[in-house]
Amino acid sequence: MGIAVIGGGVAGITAALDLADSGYKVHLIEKNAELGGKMEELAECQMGLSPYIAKVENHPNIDLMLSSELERLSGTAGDFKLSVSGNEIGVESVVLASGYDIPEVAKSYGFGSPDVVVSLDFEGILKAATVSETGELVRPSDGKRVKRLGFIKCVGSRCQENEICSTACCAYTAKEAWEVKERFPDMEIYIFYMDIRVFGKDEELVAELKDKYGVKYIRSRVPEVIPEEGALTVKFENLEKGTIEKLDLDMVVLAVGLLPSKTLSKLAEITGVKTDKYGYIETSLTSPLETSVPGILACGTATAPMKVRESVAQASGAALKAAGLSQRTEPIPGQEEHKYIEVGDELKTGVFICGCEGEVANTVDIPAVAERTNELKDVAYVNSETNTLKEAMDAIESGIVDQGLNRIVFAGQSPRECEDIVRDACARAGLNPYLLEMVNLREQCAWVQDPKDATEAAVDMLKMAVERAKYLEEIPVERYPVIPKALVIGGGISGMNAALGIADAGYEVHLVEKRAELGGGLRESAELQGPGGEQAADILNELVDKVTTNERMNVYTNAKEEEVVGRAGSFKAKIVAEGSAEDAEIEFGACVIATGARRDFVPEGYFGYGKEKNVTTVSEFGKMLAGKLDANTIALIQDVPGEGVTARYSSIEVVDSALKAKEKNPDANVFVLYQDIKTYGKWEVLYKDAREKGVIFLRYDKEKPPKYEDGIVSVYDVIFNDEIQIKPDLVVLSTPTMPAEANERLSETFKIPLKKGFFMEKPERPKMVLTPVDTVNEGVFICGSAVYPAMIDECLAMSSAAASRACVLLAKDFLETPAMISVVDEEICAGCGVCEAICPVDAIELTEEPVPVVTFGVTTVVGGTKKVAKTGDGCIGCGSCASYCPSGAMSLKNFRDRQVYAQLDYAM
Amino acid sequence: MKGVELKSGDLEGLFKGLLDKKAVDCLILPHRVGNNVAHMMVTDKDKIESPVPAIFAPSFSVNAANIVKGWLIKEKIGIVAKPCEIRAAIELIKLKQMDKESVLLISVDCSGAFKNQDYADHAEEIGDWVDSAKIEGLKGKRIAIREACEICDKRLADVGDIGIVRQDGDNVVVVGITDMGVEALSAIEDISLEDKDIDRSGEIEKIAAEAKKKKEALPEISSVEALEEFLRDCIVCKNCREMCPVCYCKECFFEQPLGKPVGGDLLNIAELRGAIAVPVNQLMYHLTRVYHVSTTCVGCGACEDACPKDIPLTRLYPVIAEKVQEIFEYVPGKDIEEPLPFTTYEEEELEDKLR
Repeated sequence: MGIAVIGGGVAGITAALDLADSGYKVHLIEKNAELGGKMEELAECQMGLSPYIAKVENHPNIDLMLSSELERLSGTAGDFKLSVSGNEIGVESVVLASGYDIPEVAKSYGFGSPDVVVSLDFEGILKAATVSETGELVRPSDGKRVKRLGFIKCVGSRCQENEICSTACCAYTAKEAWEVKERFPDMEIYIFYMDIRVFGKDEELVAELKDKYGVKYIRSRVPEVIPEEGALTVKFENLEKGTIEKLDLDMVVLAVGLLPSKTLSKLAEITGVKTDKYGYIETSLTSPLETSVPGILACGTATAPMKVRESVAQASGAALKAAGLSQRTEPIPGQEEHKYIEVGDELKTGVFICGCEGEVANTVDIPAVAERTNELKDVAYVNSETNTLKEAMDAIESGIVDQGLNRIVFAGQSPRECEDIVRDACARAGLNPYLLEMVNLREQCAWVQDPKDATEAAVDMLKMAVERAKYLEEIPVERYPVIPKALVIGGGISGMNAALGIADAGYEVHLVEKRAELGGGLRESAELQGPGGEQAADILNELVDKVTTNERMNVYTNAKEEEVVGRAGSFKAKIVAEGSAEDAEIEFGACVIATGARRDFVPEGYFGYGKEKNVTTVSEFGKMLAGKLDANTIALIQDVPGEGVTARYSSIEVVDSALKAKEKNPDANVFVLYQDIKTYGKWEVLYKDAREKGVIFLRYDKEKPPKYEDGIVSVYDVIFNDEIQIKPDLVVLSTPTMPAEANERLSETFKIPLKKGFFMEKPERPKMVLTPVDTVNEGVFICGSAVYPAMIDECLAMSSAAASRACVLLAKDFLETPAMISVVDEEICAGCGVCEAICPVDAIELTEEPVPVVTFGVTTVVGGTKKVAKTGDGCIGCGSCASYCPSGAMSLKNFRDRQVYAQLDYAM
Repeated sequence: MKGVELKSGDLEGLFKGLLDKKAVDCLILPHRVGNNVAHMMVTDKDKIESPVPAIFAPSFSVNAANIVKGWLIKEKIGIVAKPCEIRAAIELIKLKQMDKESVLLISVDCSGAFKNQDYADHAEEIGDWVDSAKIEGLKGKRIAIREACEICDKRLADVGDIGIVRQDGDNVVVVGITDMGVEALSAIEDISLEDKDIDRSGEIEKIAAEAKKKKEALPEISSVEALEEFLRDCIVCKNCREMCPVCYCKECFFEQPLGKPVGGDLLNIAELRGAIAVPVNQLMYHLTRVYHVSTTCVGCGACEDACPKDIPLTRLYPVIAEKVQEIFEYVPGKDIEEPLPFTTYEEEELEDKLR
């Protein structure tokens, strides 16, 4: 049996790969003829996703069902029968990842004019502009250069037709604006918005756009865009002046929102899962991945609008839950041990040129390239018959086995997509996988060369590769056993959930909590946000109960890890617990960091906190709401300055408690003073509800913060353009959230960078978006509020994802030591120690050796000591040391100077 | 700062004292040899001759740091030398080519220097000290100061462990710059240290202004073609590397088979390209070297002095190095505790400079 994943977008791909990589049979069902979903339309993401697509297409455990749709589903968890475009399959569990669609745009936005585009299309236009002949961004209508560009946010969301917030648009608009500014610094950019709902690094990006790039953010809901002769006129309300103004723009990008996929309602009908009133699959705050039907999981934008990063985390999390209901039946790829043939002195180079389904063949004259490559003196065999990666791999395998080739040059798509796949093919055929040289004929030739030069360029690239291939060396592939145990650091909701996820998958877990009891930051909360009324304590108690009774779980409280050594699959550490006479020595293969965040920032001095009795914090106020509330006028102040960051739950918490106060005491005057209300996603409804129930929202400017003096809160409201005074009985402060103290130590131990004390990464490169819980240190995963303070549902999804990623690793019996690592020639090393200082993973040690003093040819005394670099375990092959080392004493295997020189010598 | 004002003649006693009191086991310092001035390494204090005026003499032979490169023994060596030599020694300490505890660095004020053969030929006209008026005068007589010295703005004895500051008249002020320097001076009898605060900011500004003018007047190498032309006569003898105090490799890449192909290797490369210029790697050698020394080059000009083909290498090495050092806000040899720029990588840094 196996698991059916429905939807071949980024979420479906992620779930399928996590499952297939851990030995589960996966049926990946996609209605379109190609994988990728909406991600394929995002220029940058397409590049990031393509390696994953290639992996899916070539994965032995994935049954790829393209152009297929689910027609029928019957049975129950553990035994579902599916009918997929006429094929019958049986699975134990199902993951729904059907993605999103974008709303139809109202005519009033000038949609229909070629110069008004939706953001997804704008990505393509921007990409085309960069590679166009002029390199300019031009208007689609008349080809004139765009000088004034406008973005309109919340198109098709936070409106009558779609009342919730689409979550992703604020950040992707900022990213698009940034890309435009980077490429066209003179572009005038105007962004119309209602609230800027960004967090963490995106918050920094927006600040940079405003301050450094001169992007104008205008707070106004634009009612219409009027296409006129040669310009687009945007009408908007100038809130500062209270007037309606007009602005002429050359091009307008509509940041459209997200809606449930059009196929979702049918899918829901077939599978029987409940949908919510917005049409998304219904999940809950405390079970974000489970649908109403046991055995059917959901993830990504099928459950709510969200960013790619969150979708991917949910997908991994859903994979873990699905795996829990299924049996592992398939072997894990890459686990076979290979015997490699002896490579003698005779060089037999085989060249394989793949047409890449026309993407190379249409531009490059492959037969001509093959003919000329065949003339090279060191080439024994050329194959140019293949058109897909699969065919090419078969050809390589038989070339090695039947023709005795001992160097392989593969020319095709980018190594980023297929390097692992081609190396595996070599290894299967018995050739050391490092006797392979790759040529990127698609991205670096066919896509970028003028067709008339492409063939010539391809020949040159192949000649360089053939030359380099001569100097390749066999790198021994060493394996070490994976320790099937995990260490989870942090016993809050994320840590406990991750630990349970891993334990339920069958692995022993060491759970380390620094406090005396499990529970973490959520212990500070009373009732959870939203109308559900769940109590934090109930949820925690249930989890604690499961954790403490789980037989695979070792719980250490008042404890922390020390002396961590090792690498992915094989770590060692000590657990030091207060009051415990002996430190526990543990071994583990994977580590999950779930240190959470601290809510104990004391806003001492702000708004009289500490001095005035009636000034409190939101978390205290949450507890007060559980009892009797005898305050008639309450002022909640959001964005109180202080140490830390604005949590993703910050606005939700403020709005929720304002609403609950109002519900409890309908006659009370409840004010919320804010800069931006960030009730993303479905939480937008809470905001709407609060306004309808009479909570009064007053927006202030950062430059003119509210004051609380002599019992009066005064705030300059930027909508009324006037100062407003409130005499509150209670002032409630929403304060920043701080990182866990342990993060500094863990960052040092595991070499994972911190940003503002959290494990978030600033440059959100595609790789990081697509691996949200992985870190630069393989085998170490991050989740929950340790990454960035997040809501419970997000913490649960992320920690399940971290558990899933850890299990993918733990499922393997063996890992290979990194082959492409640095080595030192001790004879040449001058011992300067710069390599030791720059090594990002401390894999280089400077050792001291005695220097004999030889005078007049006689060794007299042992005079001094010289230093020599030694490379040790942990090298990740980044090559920093080798690129510094002036004498070449340090070199990186597979990138030896002679290999690079051979290639260069040919090029020059 | 702790220091003492002495008659310049008393320096002889001071150096002897350093040896006598075992503050150092040996001492490298400039001596007069006929008309010339050269470094001597002295272990016997009685062999120390009157060091003034030799230590201030405007003559440059070998960068003294180059001599002690690889001083890996525990015995302590003292070096009396010009600031550029001391700064090179400090870079070598950072590069672990010697141990901080095994060297006592004594810098002396420098008025600029002539190639030491020029100095020997015109010792009388040049004298023991030059100022800008004198330098211009000598130029008229075709006796040119080294270009490296003309553009140098770090000529004052403010680096190392001890500084010897030349005063008007016949006096010098000896200051202890580091604890080790103060300790060494304190060990010597006849010397009693007192607080000496000397303000040389006026002098520094004047030197910097003059140097800046000269630097701006240097011909620029503005393109790869111009660089090829500049290096046209290079015979790849690598003497510039031999004499460079901060080139510290045990075996230079250009002595290894890849950097210096011979026999069959050479033939293979020629076969690949049909024709190659020989000796090979002329441009590559200099580009590689300029990259390797760009953060640590102290601008001493030893490379130019060493070139048998009279290529004015000062216009290449120190000029490029200064630009690189500006980016990293790094002055080689200024502070022994300041880490080498390459070792202080931050993910987010230098963004404004790299734009």
